[in-house]
This record gives sequence, C-alpha cells and structure tokens, in this order.
Amino acid sequence: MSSPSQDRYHALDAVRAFALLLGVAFHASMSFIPGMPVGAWAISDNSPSLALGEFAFVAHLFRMTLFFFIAGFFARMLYHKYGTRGFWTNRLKRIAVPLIVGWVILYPAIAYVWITGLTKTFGKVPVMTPEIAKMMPHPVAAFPLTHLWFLYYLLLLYVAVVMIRALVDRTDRSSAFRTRVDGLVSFLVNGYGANFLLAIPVAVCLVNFRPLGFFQGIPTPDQSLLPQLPSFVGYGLAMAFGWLLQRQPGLLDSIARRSKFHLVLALAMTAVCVKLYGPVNVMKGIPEGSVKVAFAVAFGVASWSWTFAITGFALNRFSNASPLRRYIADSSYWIYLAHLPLVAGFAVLVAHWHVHWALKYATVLGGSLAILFATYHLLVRPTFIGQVLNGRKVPLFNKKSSLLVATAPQAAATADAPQATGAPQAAAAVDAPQAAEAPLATLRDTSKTFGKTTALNHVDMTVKRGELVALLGPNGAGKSTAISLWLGLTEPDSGAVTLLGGSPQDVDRRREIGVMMQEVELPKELKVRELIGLTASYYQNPLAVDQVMEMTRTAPLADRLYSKLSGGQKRQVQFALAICGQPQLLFLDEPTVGLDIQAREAMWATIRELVAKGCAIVLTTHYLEEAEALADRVIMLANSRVVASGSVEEMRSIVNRRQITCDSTATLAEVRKWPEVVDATLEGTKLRVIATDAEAVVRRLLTLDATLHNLEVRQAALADAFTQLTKEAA
Amino acid sequence: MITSAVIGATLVPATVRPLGVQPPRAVTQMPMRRLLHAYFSEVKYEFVRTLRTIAFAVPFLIMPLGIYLLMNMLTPASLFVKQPNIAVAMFSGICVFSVIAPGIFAVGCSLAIERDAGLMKFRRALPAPGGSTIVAKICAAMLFSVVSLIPLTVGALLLGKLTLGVGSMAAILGVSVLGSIPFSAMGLFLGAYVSGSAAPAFGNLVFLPMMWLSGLFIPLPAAVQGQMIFWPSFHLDQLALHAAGITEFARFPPLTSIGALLGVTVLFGGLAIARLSRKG
Repeated sequence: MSSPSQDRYHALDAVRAFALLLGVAFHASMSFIPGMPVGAWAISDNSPSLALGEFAFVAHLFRMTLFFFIAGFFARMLYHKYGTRGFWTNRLKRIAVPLIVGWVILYPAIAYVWITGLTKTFGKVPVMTPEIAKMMPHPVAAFPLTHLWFLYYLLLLYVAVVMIRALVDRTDRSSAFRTRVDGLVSFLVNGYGANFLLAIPVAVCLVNFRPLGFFQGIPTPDQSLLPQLPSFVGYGLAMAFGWLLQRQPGLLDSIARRSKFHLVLALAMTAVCVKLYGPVNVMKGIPEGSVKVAFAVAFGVASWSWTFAITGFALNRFSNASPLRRYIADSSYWIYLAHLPLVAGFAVLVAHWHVHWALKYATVLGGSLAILFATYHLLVRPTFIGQVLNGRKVPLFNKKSSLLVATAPQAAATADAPQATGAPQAAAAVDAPQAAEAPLATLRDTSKTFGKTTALNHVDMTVKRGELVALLGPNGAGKSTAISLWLGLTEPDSGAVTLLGGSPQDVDRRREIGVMMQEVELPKELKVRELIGLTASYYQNPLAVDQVMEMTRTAPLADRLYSKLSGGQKRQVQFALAICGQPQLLFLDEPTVGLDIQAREAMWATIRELVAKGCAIVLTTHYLEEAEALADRVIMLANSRVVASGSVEEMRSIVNRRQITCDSTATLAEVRKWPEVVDATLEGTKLRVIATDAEAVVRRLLTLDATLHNLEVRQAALADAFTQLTKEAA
Repeated sequence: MITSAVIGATLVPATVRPLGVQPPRAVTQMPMRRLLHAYFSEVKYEFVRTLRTIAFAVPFLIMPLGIYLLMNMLTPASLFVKQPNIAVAMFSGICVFSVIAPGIFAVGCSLAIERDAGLMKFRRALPAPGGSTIVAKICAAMLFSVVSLIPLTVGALLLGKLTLGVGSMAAILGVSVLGSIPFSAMGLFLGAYVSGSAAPAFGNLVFLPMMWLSGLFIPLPAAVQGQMIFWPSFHLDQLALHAAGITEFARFPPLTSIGALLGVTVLFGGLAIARLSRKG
C-alpha cells in the first residue's frame, strides 16, 4: 500500500457502490425468503429459497454498517475540503434534495406496487389482516420513510457528528483529547481490537432495545421520523469511526494488510450467527437468554469484520482509477434510490411463475438492474439529475468525456479584493483639494480592508463639479472599492467619505448621481424603453425617455428586450440608465467595453456634453487612450494607494522618457547595452527604443548605422506613465 | 486628443437641446408623488417581467386548472352528492396551491438570480427607493395570483361541481390572494440566501412536500396528518374555508392560522430583509 492517498479513494468509492448494489440484491431476494409474512413484502414468491434467505441474512448483517462507515470517512474529507458552510450546501443538495424529491415520487410508486402485490396474493384488493396489523409498528412521529431512511439518517448523523466536532474544537484547545482518540483508533485498527470493541455497542443495542422479531440485526428505522436508538447508535458509531479514521488515512494501510484476517473472522462469526439462529425464517425471533447475548456479540463482530474485510479487499485490489468502476460507482446512488419499486414490481411479476427460484431471482435482479442502468445512462448521467446526485453532468454523446472526468471541480478561491503589500510607495503627487468650489465627492484618509486584504490604504481623492476624473490602475488596485464607497455600497474602516456634502448612505444624495457598473445583468424580460422608464422613476427630475434614447443612440432599440441585445448595445443602454436622472455626478466603470468605434465616439461626445453642462464624471477604464481623450484629471491607484494624480500632460511628464522609432540595422543586443536605453524592441527592421536621454541615443544610433532612416522621436504616452508608476509601486 | 474631440463633436446628434452650464442643484427630498410613482413603476415592471417569464407563467397558469379538473373527474360523483362541501374544499385547496408558486418561485428565483447578476447592488447604488424591490415582488406575486385564479375560477364554475355562493367564492379567492404574502416572504428568504442556480432546487424542496403533505389535494391518512400543522399552506387553506363559512374541515380556530401565517411572514420576511440590507 504505497499508492498515493488520493488513489485509495477509488477503492472506497467502489466499497460504497458495493454496499448500495448489495442492497439492491438484498431487496431482490426478499420475496424468496422463507416464511415472509403476507404484507411484509410486496409479495411472497411461490418458490421460496433457503439459500437466498441466508444470503439476505448475511448481506443485511453488514451492508449498512459498511455504508455508514464509508460515509463517515468521506464526510470528514468533504468537511475539510469545503468548510462548514460548503459542507452543508453540498449535503443539502446531494442528500436532502434526493430524500425529499425522491420520497415524493417513490412513495406512491412503492404503495402502488405493494397494493398490486397484495391484490395478486388475495385475488382482491387487500384489507389489513390482524396478523399484519399486529406486526405493524406504531411508533411516535410515524412516517413511512421507505428505503430512503438512510438519507434521513445520514443527515441526522451529519448534524450529530458536526456538532460533536464543534464541541471538541471548543473544549479541546490543546488537542490533547484528539491525540488520545487518535491513539485509541490507531491502537484498535493496528491491534485487531476494533472488530471486538466496536461490536459491543451493537450487541448492547441488539440485546436490550428491541425484541428481534425479524432477523434484521440493527432494526431498519424506516417507520418514524424520530431517531431510533439502536439504529442511531449502530450506524452513528459506523459513521463516527469512519470520520475518525479519516484523521489518520495511513491506517487504511493497516486495514488493507489485515483484510484476510478480517475475512476469516467475518466468516467465523457469521457461521456462529447462522448456527445460533438456525434455518432462516423471518417469523422466528432470535433465541432467548444467554444464546441471545452470544448471538448479539457474534453479530456485532461479524458486521465490523465484514466491513473491514471488504474495505481492505477493495484497498488491495481497486486502488487504481478505472473508468468502469467509476461509472458503476456514480450510477450506484441513482440505482439504490430508484430500485425499490422496480425490484418489488418484478418480484410481483414473477411470483406465481412455475420455474426454479434461481431463474426468477435472476429475472428480478437482472430486469431491475437493466432498467436502472439504462435510466441512469439516458436520463440521469447527462441531465441535471446527475448533476444533483453525483455533482456532474456528462453529455450523452461524448466519447472523450467517457468515464474519467475529474471529480468535483476545485472551488477556485476568487479573491475579489486586491492584495495588500507592504511595498514602498512611489513618490506620489497627492490629490490636493482645491478651494475653488465645494467638491462633489471626497475620500479623506480613507482605508478599507476585506478580511486580510487591504483594498484602500489611507487614500485621499476629490471630484469637483464639471470635471472628468479618470481613475486608472491595474486590476485590484482599489478603483472599484473607491467607487463602492461613494455609491454607499460599503462603508470605510477609517477616514471619511462624502457625496454632495454628506453621507453616501443618504438616498436623497444618491438621487443626484448616475451609475454605470460592470458586470450587472439588467432584467432581461424588460424592453429598453421600459428599463429607462423604470430607472428614470427613481429620480426627481429625470429626462424624458425619448430624449435619453436620442442622446445615447438607443432609440432604434426602444422596443427590444434587453436579453436580445448585443454586448455593445447593452453597454449603450446601461449608459442611458446612468444619465437618465440628470445626475450631477456620474460614475462610469469601463463604459466603452465592447463598443464599436462609432458607438464609442458617440458615447464620448455625450460624455463631453455632460461635462460641459457641469456634470462631474468619475471614469474607470483600461483604455488609456480613452482617459487621454476625455479626462481633465487622472488619478492613478496602485497597491491600494494613490500613486499619482494630475492632468494627462502632467502625468506624461512624470515619466521623463521618449520613444524613438526608426528603420535600422542595429542589433537589439547592442542597443540594449547603452545606459540611456530603458527598453528596446525590434520588429523586422523597425527598431523601437524607450530612452531617458533621446538625443544621446539618436547620436549613438547614427554613429552605429549611417543608413538609418524614418527616424521619429516623441514624448511617452500615458500608457508609459501608467506602466512605470505601477511598476514602481509594486 | 484634438482629433477625437473633433470627431466627437461632429457626431453629436442635432436634436439634442443646446448646451449650457447648469447651476448646481441642492439636495432635496423626493416629493411624495414622485416616490409613489417610483414604487408603482417597480410593481408594474415586476409584474410585466413575471408574465414574460414564459417558463414560469404558462405552467403555473394552466396547472391549477388541470389538477382541479383531474381531481373532479377522479372523485366519484356520489361523494359530491353525499358531501357537497368536498367540492368546496377541493376548490379552496387548489386556490391555495395557485398562490404558493408565485410566492416561492416568482419571488424566490427571480430575487436569487438578480442577486447573482449584481442587480440588487445596482438598484441600491441607483437611488431605488428603500424596499421597493421587496414591495414590488410581493405585489407582483399577488397580481400573478389573481391572474392564475381567473382561469381556475372560470373552469370550476363551468366544469366543476361547485355549489358556492358568490360571497363565499369571493372570500376564498380574496383570502388566497392575500395569503400569497407569507409564501412571498418564504420566496424572499430563499432568494436572499441561495444562489440563482440553486433557487429552483431549494424552491422545489419546499414546494413539493408542502403541496402533498399539507393535504391540499387529497385527504391524508391519519398517520401523517400530524405534520400538516407545520405547513403555511395548510393554515391558509383552513382560513380560506373558514372565510367561506365552511367549518366541517376546521382543525384549528382561525386565529391560530392567522398567527401561524403572520409568524411565517415576519420570520422569513425579517430574515430576508436583514440579509438584503447588509452593506458590502
């Protein structure tokens, strides 16, 4: 067992599938068990089989213990992968939804099959016989959970285990208790004690809590919503042990190594059980007195020995990935959920045939599995049902996706907020407020963090009437956070945020602003005209809808549904919504993304017009030429700080660089050696050099290459300033 | 830059009114008339959206009538003769059923999808009046309930075996429509906490069991009747029957049912509002 830990879980997947499919085989055998009372199963076959009775006895001895053991192991893995919240979201989807939806659909189907079976038995619609009535349990909080009880108990046990975990987490701060428990688990698994110690609670439950009418061992708790103690303890123990074992996955090796021992013990104890019980007959309780105790102990040891034997066997044989096993493992959940009405239905169908029981059993099991696998392949695997049950949907006709699609996708931790760094600040021209007129919006020494990430770090900014401020910065620099603060969507940790002289939380102040956000999907069922009308209704003095559409060139789209618009048209409509309220201050977040050149120029024209009328605009953009074309002032953010601010010209002059282009035979290696050169590129014969001292470089170039031509020297663009400043801030 | 400005200037549409610097405006409160107009617009367009969501609107307009007619066909005629109020109970049960779906699905799913799409944030950044989304969704669900009850009522009068006075009928319909509010509150709760893709699943998780286990369509076996008290739909059904003056199916005094429905509304509505008003 030196395989990487992840591979082992293919084996455990296989074990879980085995436990579920064994359940199908078990239920298929029910109608053949000798002595089954009328009504306890849908029908009793006319050719009962002691062999099938014994198979059912043995299968049922361990199948649910095995299942809950594996469930506990996987539960802890899931819990630690997704955290508490993610764990519950996952479990609600995979367990609670199938439980409730499954019950609603399956219960009527099961009832129908039962009534059909009883009608066939009696030749008429059955009545409750006193015999059955006496056998029927009448528990508190009665509810026919059917075979779906295992989902209900999974949920109950998850709650219990997670609560215990939380309690231990709180009280056992030094982990002393956990270390001790780990030691005990390790001792039990390595020292052969687990089979016996874990058997004790099972045996106690069997002896004390309920007379064993059926040979069911741990009684199936399918009649009541109230947790039944023997099942809760028996299966809870299995889940808890699986959970604890997952703390030390290395112990799986030990189980695998001892699988033969476990098997021998399982067979021996099963033989004891069968011997003590005698020929299988459902109507018979287990023997009384000391024999009962012996039976219960043997039962407990057998159930845990089978559990370890099968797990160990799978770890030895099935630790590698196999498309076929993966397919069966995925399908087994659906198969178990849906099998009961089918299996019972086939049993009803064949019950009165005069053929050997083996043939009938093959028909019941084979027929059911054929239908279940077919429905899985056609109706479950490629649809949302597969998505819910197994966490993925596999297209029906896609060879590539065959059976080996990676398991649940890793939840990528998306960090929306920018990263905090302690990088030294680049020399910053701080955005000094000017006294001329009260600013429309300010941030004063404002900081904001999200968790451990600093989004804004002591930032000052102002926006004045009638100016267009371009907010530039790399992704995660803090631009969106600044805007969110002004929009009142978040509040600062420290510092002050004002909008029109007061708090942005005041809706009256926000009525003076317009917003165009990124990544907002507007109601797709509304037409453009309706969207504008609705948004205009929020404002005190909005423009007429037609006028807005004219200004934003959206009139031709007036009666189209928003969902039918192209990306660029959607941006135009969002722009219309932003300006429809005649705002004094407009926030435009990447307004021209996806627009064609004409539409962009038109939007620019409208923006200039608004500024001319006195509207202030805060524009964020990645198109630096957009900022160059429109902005009165540029504020550059990097690493949560303002690194520079000023007019476009001022920003350009911050970087004392010029760009030289020419056609030359000079080699890059040579040019790059010169101290005045910041960067050089060569495309064909077109040499492009960024230099701090352009004249010196030109002299060197002319000396080096007398044939040089097409020489051009120009001031660096805003883009260069941007690159340099953000580099320095990083 | 000069070039862009020139291009821009030539593209300014001629019809736009001439420019002129506008004086700064003082921040003032919105007049009541404008505020009401804003709420009215929200309700109107929310309703329009619900009707335009074909996938939701068509099934939930047709299904109640279909189920009602099916049940009428399946119930032996002799039963209606022996116990005429069975037909009324059937009708009120279906009325209640028709108002659950708009509440849970139209409100819950649309809210969850809008949250995913960033629309709730956008509305708040825009000055949408406080709570207008919630008011709009609840009112739109009520309006949709009214619309879905029309074909049902017409069908029941024409094809059903209903023996009911106009007053009693109006009482059942009125109570049902008002009764959509607690389900809308449940929808708000759902929409406020789960994602758009999970909302239909969680909606069904509530809707399917509620539909069957509250005994709206078929009388439940005695063994599973105890749990009916937990479903708001059961209480609404009780109230609707009480309003129609039919007492033979009553299990609780109407005040209990009113209390239960109010409780559901306050609990789920409150939790939803708490979540939606969260900043950041």
